[in-house]
Amino acid sequence: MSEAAIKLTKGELEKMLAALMRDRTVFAPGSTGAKLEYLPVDDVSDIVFGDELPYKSPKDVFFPRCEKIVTFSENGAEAELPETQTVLFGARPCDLEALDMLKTILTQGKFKDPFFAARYENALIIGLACAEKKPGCFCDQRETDLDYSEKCDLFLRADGDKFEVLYVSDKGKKALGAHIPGLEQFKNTPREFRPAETLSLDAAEDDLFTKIDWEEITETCQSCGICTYVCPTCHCFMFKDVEEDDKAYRYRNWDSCMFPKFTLHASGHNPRAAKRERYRQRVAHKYVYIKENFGMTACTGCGRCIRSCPAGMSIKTVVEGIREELQ
Amino acid sequence: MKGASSMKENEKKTPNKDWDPVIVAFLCTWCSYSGADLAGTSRLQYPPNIRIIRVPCSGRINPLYIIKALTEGADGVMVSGCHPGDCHYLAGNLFARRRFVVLKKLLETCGLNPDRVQFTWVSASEGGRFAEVIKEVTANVKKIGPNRIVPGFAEDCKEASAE
Amino acid sequence: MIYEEMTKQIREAAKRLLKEGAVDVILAYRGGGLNEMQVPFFVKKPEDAELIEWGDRCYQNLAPYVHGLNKKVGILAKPCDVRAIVQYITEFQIERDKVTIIGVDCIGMVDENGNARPGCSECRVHKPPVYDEYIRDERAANLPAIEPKAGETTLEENLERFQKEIDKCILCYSCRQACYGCYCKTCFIERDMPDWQPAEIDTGTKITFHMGRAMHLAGRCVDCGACEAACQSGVNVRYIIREVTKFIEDAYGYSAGMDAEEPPALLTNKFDDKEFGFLGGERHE
Repeated sequence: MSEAAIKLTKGELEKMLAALMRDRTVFAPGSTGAKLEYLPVDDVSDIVFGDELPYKSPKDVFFPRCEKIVTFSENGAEAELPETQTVLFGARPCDLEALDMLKTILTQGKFKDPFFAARYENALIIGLACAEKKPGCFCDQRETDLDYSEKCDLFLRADGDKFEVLYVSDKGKKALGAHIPGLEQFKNTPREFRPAETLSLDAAEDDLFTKIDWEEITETCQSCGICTYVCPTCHCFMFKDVEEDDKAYRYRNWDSCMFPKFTLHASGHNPRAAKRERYRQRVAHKYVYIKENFGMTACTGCGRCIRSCPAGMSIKTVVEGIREELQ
Repeated sequence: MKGASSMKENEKKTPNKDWDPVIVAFLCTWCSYSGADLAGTSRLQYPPNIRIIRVPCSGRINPLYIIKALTEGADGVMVSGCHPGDCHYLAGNLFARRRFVVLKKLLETCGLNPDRVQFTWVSASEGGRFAEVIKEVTANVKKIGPNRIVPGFAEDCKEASAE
Repeated sequence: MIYEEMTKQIREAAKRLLKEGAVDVILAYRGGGLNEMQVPFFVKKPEDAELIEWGDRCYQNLAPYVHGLNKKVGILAKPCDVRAIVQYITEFQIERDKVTIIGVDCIGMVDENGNARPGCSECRVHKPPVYDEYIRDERAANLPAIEPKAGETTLEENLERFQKEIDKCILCYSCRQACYGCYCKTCFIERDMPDWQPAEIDTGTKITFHMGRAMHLAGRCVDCGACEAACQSGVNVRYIIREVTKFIEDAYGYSAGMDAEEPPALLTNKFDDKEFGFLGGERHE
């Protein structure tokens, strides 16, 4: 990155975002109260630059907490795909990694989610490097480079009061070329990241079920489910149909595998009634099942669940413990 | 921030001229419901704004019913049971009384006008009192104005705010 | 310094109770959380008692773990935890002789910046009202109050404050899970007959949930601050529950969790209770 390096000042970046706001919805780190989160902003001054990691992941830009997906009327069922053009600014490498995983899971698996796909297609993602690891983060152990990512349309790194462009996709070039001089000629320099150690599980499912004392691991868990709400890769949902006047609507809401009613059958049987079973499911889903189905571990080491947990539980410690136990 | 200040603005809007309050009335079957019956058979006039829901006892009324009625767009809620000491189940209304007093305080703390919710006692022989109470409750709710706590819930609210 | 001394006493008491077989498990804290926070810890063997740690970041309320644990339990309990346990006893959730309370004086917990934890600066109960073992702390509580004293507020201001708080809410129900008092097997909001929670997450649902929960906790809340601490969105609806609880204290003279013999205010009645706000009744001033 010699003469090709492009550096934007904060003013230039703000100008670019302001220009994007004219015809797109911009999601960026902002705050309505105590905590930082990704919010739709309509004024650049509301954006919080800096190194703080928002407490919630940006997955709800693509996969909202509550979404009306189908309208039923006398003329049949109608689904409306979202058309809003969006920009996600300030996603961190761990979030980008996670969004890429969600894309794989939700658009390339056996079942496809057209709503997520449409939102992803309509979005311009601008990533931002982390200056340092936050307490609880373990991205280096989860193969996430906190300094560089190619899973976005434009990747920036704060350098003093300037922002250096490290990566740009073709889509990014097309959409942002007009705002950043020299972007179209920019050549990406791929970077390889070799973590010193990798935290993953190669355990057989049976071993996880029989050889681990989940009761002891989860005795302090309160089943509050906040880990799944802040997690960038958790994507379980439920449907709810509502009748209003002469129409009916189907909503899709987030659900959490930490809730006892998540697996409750209509018969009354609940295969995962105890919290040890539910927590086992969460760990196994992230570290084993998705690996079997898609070849990746769905934990990016963002540490959000660890920071949020009211009981101070840590998935990192749990997985490390399991590895030790099964060796 | 959708809905950020809608609640406040909506509470303030002036009532539409054609607006007529919808008041949900929970009546205990042993006293107040019979009282309403008596008011009817005695041909007493009272405003037609109330929608009566008959319950076995005022103690059966979950405060959530009242909250739900308000969030679903009812302009007022009225609860009436037997006079203290007359409860068919001996003490149902006495338990209910504490609950209602606390609910009023809760509504006030949350900034919802506590006068939207009215409690009273009407016995089976008080047909005249029943008519009086309904008149008073309706007048009170009319003074407060339409319920705009949650915009978009009740159709008539939507129409009113569009004008 | 004083915390080390207290930790030593707690460890001794825990070891003794476990050795005697008076309890099967002791709920306590140990170090090792983020930001030097002390995390909940289940002590099952006397030798594990050495890991117990007591300090100014033991803010997790341990009482919810006791609920549903079918064992002889010992619990290291701050005054708010003790009150929660007492409340469980008055509500017939646990039996007094199944739980051994190691009561400990608490002058308030702080977060990583040294600020008072939710609930701690307004706390008035610094000594456990009920206990089997007692760990003393002679210091006076003097955490600065965060919230200014609530004066007379208008309905308008109340609405604005409530609206501001619930706008942040994403309805994840963490507050409910963290709450000692929310032990219903199925929460009202999850019932579908009647369907309290419409599919759409809107202001109405949030009002129903938060007001419904406040109503359920009215007079039972021990103000431990667990709901606010568990909330990642920074929603504080605890002030509503506190207001209502204070009202119940004034009107019916009942304080949650102070006396295991006294029935909760809303589970009892008196014939001559005041009818505040009733049609033709008097107003509460």
